Amino acid sequence: MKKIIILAVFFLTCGSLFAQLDNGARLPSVDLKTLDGETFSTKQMTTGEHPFIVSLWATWCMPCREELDAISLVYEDWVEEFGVTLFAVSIDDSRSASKVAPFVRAKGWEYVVLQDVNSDFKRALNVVDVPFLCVFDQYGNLVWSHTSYAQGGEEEVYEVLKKLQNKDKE
Amino acid sequence: MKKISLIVTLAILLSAFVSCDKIEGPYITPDDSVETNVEFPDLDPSTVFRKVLIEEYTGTRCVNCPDGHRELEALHNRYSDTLVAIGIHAGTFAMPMGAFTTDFRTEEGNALYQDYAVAQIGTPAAVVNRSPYNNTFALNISSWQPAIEQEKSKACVAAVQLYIELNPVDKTITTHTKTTPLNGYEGNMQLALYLIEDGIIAPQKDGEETIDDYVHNHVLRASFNGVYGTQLTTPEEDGTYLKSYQIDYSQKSWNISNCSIVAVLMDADTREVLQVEQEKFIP
Amino acid sequence: MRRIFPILTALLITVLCSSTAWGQSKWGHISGDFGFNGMYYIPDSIIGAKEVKEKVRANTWLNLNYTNSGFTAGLRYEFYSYPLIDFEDIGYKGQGLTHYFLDYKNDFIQVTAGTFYEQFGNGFTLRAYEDRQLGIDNSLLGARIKVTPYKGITLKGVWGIERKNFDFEYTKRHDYVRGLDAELSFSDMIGTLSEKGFVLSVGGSFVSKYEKSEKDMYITLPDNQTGILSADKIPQNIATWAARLNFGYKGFRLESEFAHKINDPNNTNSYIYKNGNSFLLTASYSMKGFGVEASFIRSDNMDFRSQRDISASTSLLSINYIPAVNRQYTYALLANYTYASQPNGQIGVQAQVNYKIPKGSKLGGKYGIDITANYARFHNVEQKLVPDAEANGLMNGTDGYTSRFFAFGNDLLYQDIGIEFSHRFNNKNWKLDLAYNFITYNLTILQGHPSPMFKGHNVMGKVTYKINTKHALKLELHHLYAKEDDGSWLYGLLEYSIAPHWFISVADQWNYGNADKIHRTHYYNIAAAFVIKTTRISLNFGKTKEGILCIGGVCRSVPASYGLGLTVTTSF
Repeated sequence: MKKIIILAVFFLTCGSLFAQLDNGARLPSVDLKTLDGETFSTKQMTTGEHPFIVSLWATWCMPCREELDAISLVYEDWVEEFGVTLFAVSIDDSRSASKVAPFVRAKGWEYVVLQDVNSDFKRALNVVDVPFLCVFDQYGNLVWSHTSYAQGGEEEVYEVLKKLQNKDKE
Repeated sequence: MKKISLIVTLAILLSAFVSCDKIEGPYITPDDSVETNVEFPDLDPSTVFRKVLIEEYTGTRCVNCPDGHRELEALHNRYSDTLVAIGIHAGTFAMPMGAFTTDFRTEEGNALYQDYAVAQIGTPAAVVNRSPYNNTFALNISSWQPAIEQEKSKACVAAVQLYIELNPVDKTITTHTKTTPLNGYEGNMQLALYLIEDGIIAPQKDGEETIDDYVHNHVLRASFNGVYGTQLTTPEEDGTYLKSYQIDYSQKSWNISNCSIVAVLMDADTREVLQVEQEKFIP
Repeated sequence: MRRIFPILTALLITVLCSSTAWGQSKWGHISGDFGFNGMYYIPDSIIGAKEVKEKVRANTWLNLNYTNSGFTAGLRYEFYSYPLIDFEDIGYKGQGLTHYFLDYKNDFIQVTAGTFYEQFGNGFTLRAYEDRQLGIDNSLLGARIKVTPYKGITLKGVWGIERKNFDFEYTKRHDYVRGLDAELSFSDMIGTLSEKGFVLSVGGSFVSKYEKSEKDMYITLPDNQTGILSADKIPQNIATWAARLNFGYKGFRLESEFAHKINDPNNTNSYIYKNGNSFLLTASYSMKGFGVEASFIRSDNMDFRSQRDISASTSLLSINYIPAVNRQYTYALLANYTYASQPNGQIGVQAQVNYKIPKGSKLGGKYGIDITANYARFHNVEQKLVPDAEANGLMNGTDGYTSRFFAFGNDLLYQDIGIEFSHRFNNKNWKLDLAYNFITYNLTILQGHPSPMFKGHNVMGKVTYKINTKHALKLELHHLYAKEDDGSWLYGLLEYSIAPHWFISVADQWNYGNADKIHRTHYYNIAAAFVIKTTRISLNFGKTKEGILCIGGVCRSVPASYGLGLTVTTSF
């Protein structure tokens, strides 16, 4: 009991210290699959021109679907305003991986949907739970990331993109 | 770089493809025990004590092995029948060569020699009760006696009774056994029966000398039911186990009057010896 | 413990200082995640929450990764010495450095040494993976090499010893896994193919497990005869191979994989020598607003583990993965009746249609209506005992049984018929979700307690109301109507969220239809969570029913519990 508490406090301090650091994480290089089963390296996300969003989700995760649904309502505006692309990376494993394409296309989402069937990308990004959303600048530097989704959470993403744009203009 | 990695990949590929064991049936071998109707005398548990097995690894061309034989004889004098010895001829110096034409090696002996890593210290060596002494199984001469002391001090958990039936016409030997767990012992047990022979005259190296009429004692000749024997699975109503095994010696040159049967009772999981019993053909 | 603490502290301090100092510099980058999942347990005899010795228990881990251009090094320390009771139940208890690796990657090659995760195809032959919430970590300790000699060709080779919970005595192990995988993507190689809308790739894998066999086994035959399965009749090298195909043309896609395993007598299959196989076929068609998918899966005797005597009750030492292709629900009341792949075999079909009533149509309104319909049915595989097994009265040490490939066995395991609607009203602040499911679930086989076939009707309704840009309210009501097992249930959830930081919820799961009045329990739960960027702190108090916990495609049983929980997770 004592050990647990000591250890928890210890880990927690370390963890929160780390969380404060904005130490310029870069996009990890992992091979994903497109909905057609073709290889897609995460390197292809970085274009040098526009920022991009990476959202980790799964078909069985309700908040993930809510988040992507909510963003889909404003996505067109975001694309127009920031030239941003959203890469929706599904962590569905081989049990549900084949259900991703019909699900996404029926939804009519305009995102670039990718698949990470053995969670390699999820691990490389140190993601604990989905939904997990990150914003990268045009060079692939991590600008902001967030876990969980609450209705209206997309507003914060917008703010981040806006700030990024203003910084670029300066 | 590219070439190296491709070669490595191909090497893994090849090694993987040979790694596949297809087993041919039938898979189950019936236990080759024979029917028995031998009535064993009643057992008085208070008279049973734990005997110790010493397996001596030796060879006719092994120059230091007679030192082992002498030590074993000394130990025998000291412990008398509470110590049962089996002489296992195995390893390089047991291979027949030149004047040393006799081959005392057996399949069982070779397997035991391998399993207990005797080659690591070489002959002469011994394994006491198939139990570790100071974390090692194969022991040098100096450790034999302390290892026996260690084993002797352990609790007695079972008794083995033997009865030998010799059929000189068919040239078969049948050994009947009765195993009685004692003091509420409930572990899985395994019983192995071996045949050993005393007084065989054959050349032996002793230091620089070659002794042509050397007397070889307790030489392992055969097993009745495999290297480690068979597990005792179906108890009688009173909790004892009756097992009988038969071998045929028509093709063998054994002098039966010098032979004896050694029954080794082991823990089925660790194979540590729990009890050992020896019975001579001619008492 | 005493030795590990200073080491860990020193390591962390070094890492901390260095990462602060290095920042974004050429010295590379440090990232990681941390999790603490603790609970204070209160006994409750009615729900079956046992009194536990250490009332406060927690799962704690810390992951650190260091990246510098192509190089990555990582480690994870897990402290599970007093784990949550469900982890203790499955033997996931202990502490130590459980994951450590060095990895180099460029466009041509990737080399990994240490512990790693890998999957070949659908995982029929090899899937080394982890799920920290389920207490599964089947990482391999060894080496991996991945080569892409030409665009569209991927070759992988792995060698490793599988992780066995917190048993770190790898040197004493007599088992290891080696595997190879090759994938050829014609559409990646030939540009004209993909331009015309074609996708074509084929792949194959070969995995072999070595496990020393040194002991005879004994089988009691009729008439109390003893049969011996001698050590040399127990295979030491067991191989599986698989071939797969992926074909696509525009919106149409066909995927298939077939795997075969040679004789692998083990605890799960009662030590039979029959070959195993599995087959998956999936076809789907999708276009904007419409998607349809159908799958067929058959697996027979494909349980494949690093050690043959491990029981199939957990994923411990599992080398491969057989997916159950049915749709998985996260609805509170259906979670206890989730189907998972049966280790000894299953044959099943699944079909799903996704359709969106278009935006702007009369029925669909401004935002359209999403409709999902689904059907799934699983049976056991047919089993006809071989004459030896028939004669012996047991399968052990024989070829076991024969089975016609496409024949459904006599036992229905699971069936699900479901439909789901999701609609956002013209006033976009209101959203409504409705779902109905009819579930048939074989409790006797799937949960191992003899009882009649469970038949449940589940209705779910969810209303989300966005009060303003930040505040939202969510109400969920579920009703599961059933006569079998624990009978009918009601569930209600009310959640208030303030984006992006706060979540507060109250929920109650009421077993009002339980035949036994004492067990008409309210499993209530009160929870609050605070999220800031990637850190999430949540507190909950309440009761959890004994049942099945599934994440992704894997399930395990969890005991009943009652108490106060605290969870802290962060990524950095």
